[in-house]
Amino acid sequence: MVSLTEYLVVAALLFTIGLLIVLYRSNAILVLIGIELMLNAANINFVAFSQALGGHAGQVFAVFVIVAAAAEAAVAIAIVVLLHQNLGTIDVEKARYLNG
Amino acid sequence: MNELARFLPTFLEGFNLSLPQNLVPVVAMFLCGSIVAAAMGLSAAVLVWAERKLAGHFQCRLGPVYVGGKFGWLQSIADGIKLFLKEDIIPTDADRPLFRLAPYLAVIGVLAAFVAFPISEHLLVADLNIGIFFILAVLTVEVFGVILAGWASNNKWSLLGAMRAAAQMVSSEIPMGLAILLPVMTAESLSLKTIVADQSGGILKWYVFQPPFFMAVAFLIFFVAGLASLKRSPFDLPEAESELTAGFHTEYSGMRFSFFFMAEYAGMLLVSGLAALLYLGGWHGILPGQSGVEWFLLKTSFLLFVMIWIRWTLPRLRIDQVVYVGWKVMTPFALVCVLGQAAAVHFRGG
Amino acid sequence: MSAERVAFYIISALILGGAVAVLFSRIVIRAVVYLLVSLFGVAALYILLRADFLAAVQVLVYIGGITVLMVFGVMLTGAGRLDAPPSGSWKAFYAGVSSLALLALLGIVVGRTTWPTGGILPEEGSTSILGELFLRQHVMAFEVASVLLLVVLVGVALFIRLGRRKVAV
Repeated sequence: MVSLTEYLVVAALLFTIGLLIVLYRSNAILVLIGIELMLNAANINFVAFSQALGGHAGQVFAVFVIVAAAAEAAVAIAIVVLLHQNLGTIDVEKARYLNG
Repeated sequence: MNELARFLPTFLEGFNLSLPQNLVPVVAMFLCGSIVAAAMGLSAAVLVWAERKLAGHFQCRLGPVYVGGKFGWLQSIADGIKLFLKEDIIPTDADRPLFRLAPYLAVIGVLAAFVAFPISEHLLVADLNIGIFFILAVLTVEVFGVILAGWASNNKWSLLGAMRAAAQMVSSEIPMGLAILLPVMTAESLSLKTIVADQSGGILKWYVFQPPFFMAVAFLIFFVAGLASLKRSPFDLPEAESELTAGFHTEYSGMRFSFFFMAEYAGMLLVSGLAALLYLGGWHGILPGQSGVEWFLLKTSFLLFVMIWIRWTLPRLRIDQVVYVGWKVMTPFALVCVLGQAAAVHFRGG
Repeated sequence: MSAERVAFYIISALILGGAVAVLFSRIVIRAVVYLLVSLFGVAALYILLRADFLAAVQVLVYIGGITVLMVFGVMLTGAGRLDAPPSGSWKAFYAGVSSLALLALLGIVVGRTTWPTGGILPEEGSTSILGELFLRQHVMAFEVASVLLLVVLVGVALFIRLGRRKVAV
């Protein structure tokens, strides 16, 4: 039987790597991948807690997170495509037109 | 004999192979996988032969006649050997690891779907609780393989084919999913076994012939969307020979090409089998009380025949027409069907 | 070691290995493939946690939807070629420090708390129970989620259309 703590450790590591990708890489699509990894880490926690507490509320929450992630990915890809059309690059460092 | 996944471990223990106890499920799993893969390889070979023979007759010619005697029935075996022996070419500018990975993804997606696919009441690998949902989920892996193949080939035709495949897949998957919802709602289960069991008792109990006839429309939508998701003619734009050479698999040769080929034919089998299970009563016969594998095979082969018939009859659509059919025709119709059937199930006294 | 534990370690290695490979990948499309490995691992973890419905949702939405969308994005923006991570910049330092700080914090929280144990989900599938929960207890959230999806659908279409007309540069 794998304990809850081990699942939490895996999720924490995954979340950290996701954060590192978001902060370190500047390609917009890679940033999006990092965000997806962080959401997945949160989902692992939800499902692990749902198992540990013997209920299904965590799984319900995880489904909503997946729905939100899908919606977010659609919007993000649209932004990336527009970024490419308007600036010719999808480097998030170079899109600084609101930067005073 | 029961489910393969449960039957095989007991079968293995009968041999006294002195396997370690916890290795038995693993060995059984591999055996299940090999049985499914071998069955698919064989049926793909038969299907290819049937398609060539039928195409020949549709076009008033003979099709294969020489190899293996009378009907050229060894033709696809000979082709298989030829594909095995062919040189495996990877273009210099291709993304090598992805180029190698793509065919496996394509074929694994389809083969994995057969795990939850019952052939008769007792002949299935595993009766999964999420049955049809599992099949829908793993089938999407195949599309990813196709898109990856188009990208990794580093060829403009491949890339165009892959883009078309992605657009077409997205627009056909939604009506397909909605059409599957109707039998699921009526049987109140996702397990294919339960859905078929609900259709027992003669031809009038089959879901296509159920009175408000929403499921007849859903059957049509499922079949057309299935053709589109399989990239079969008239939706074969991702590989349109006359415009894109061979589309996403232009650069593939030998065994790697034959994996895509096998994925396509196994996919045909899957879609027609699913249509038979979901709407045409699966292994139940025309009269009440009749049931057996032969009925299922009969229905599936009829649907396969229709697929081949369509391929050699209809011209290819344009990509904008495919997307139009998916989003503006099939999806609204499927939504209306879902609502109608939901009302029917509700007033039936559920 | 039980079979479950072995499976857990293999799956965790897949998940974390895929994520690390994304971090250092030089080709965007390969990063998407590594993401795929990671997401498959998460789906396998759900099966280990007896959430079979959720595992199917994960494969359907992430692999059939989100990664295909990402490959589409890569194809449309031509970003698939070499794209090396920035090297030797302060950015790497700041990113590393803040991530490590977060990891330390999470480690302390996970290690110090006594987590509840003993709850065991029933062996049979969770699909029907989840269905009941969605359409009875959480029906409001369910409807809000569908409204969110509708808004996104319309919003993205509008967004692309308006964005094309106005060119910022």
